[in-house]
Amino acid sequence: MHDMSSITKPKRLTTARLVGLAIFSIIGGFVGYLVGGYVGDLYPREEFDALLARSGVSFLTHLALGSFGLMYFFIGGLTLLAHVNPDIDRLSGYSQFIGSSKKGRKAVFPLALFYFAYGILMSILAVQTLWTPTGGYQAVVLCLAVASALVMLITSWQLWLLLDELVRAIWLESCAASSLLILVAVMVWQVLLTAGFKIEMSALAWIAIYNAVYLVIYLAITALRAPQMLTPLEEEG
Amino acid sequence: MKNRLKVLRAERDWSQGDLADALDVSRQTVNALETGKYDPSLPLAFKIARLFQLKIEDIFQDDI
Repeated sequence: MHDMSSITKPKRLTTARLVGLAIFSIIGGFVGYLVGGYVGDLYPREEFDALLARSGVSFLTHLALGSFGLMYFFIGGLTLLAHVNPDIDRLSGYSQFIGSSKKGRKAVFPLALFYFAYGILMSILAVQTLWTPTGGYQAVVLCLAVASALVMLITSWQLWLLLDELVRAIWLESCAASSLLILVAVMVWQVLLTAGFKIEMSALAWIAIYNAVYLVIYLAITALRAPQMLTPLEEEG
Repeated sequence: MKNRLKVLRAERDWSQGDLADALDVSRQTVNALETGKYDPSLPLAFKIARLFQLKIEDIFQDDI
């Protein structure tokens, strides 16, 4: 008989791995701050602001789009790394998320591809706030964007068929709730505009807000439905 | 909705992973079912009932 207590035992917050991860995160954040500051100083802020003003996008929108792009690349990379490295798999709870069945393991590449395509699309949107491609570049960017969009559609369909129903339920509920919230927000915004209030919102700003709202709702629903998905599950005896 | 999944699984000396594999779902799903945070779809409920050779109502009980 397995020791059933090990299944429900809460994870200690002081394990070497978690403390290591916290220290790593703090050091990573500090190094990121220094590198970001150094890179930021290389480019004159006035020029950067002028480029953003020309595309009618705020710095916050640009930052959000770029951050989401990087985040999706990171998640895509993590998916592939977790597939080949058992330690990363355990730490990220990745196998427990997609399941260890043959069907679940088939979701690895569609999942990674989905996130890479998502990352490419978001990065294109972020870059376009600063630079409008012309001529040959325009064709390349357009092809890349269309290809990424197609990959996202195809892989999301594959994932719908491969991932198990809990993940599908969380996915569906997050999409439905965030879409409803954004729909209401857009309608209120339109009413305010009609009433004479000047609230400038670009399509890119709405995309960034939608992504942020989706992420928050996804985390909230996951915390309600399956909080163990947000932390690695305890090893079974 | 309450369920007896954890008890039934323990009686058979199965781990959450074993049950997840048998049902072709992730271990997260089994965990969410056992803790009552997620109610299964009807197809999954039937699959669970078949696996334990019980009726659905012998495994899942309404809160009412």
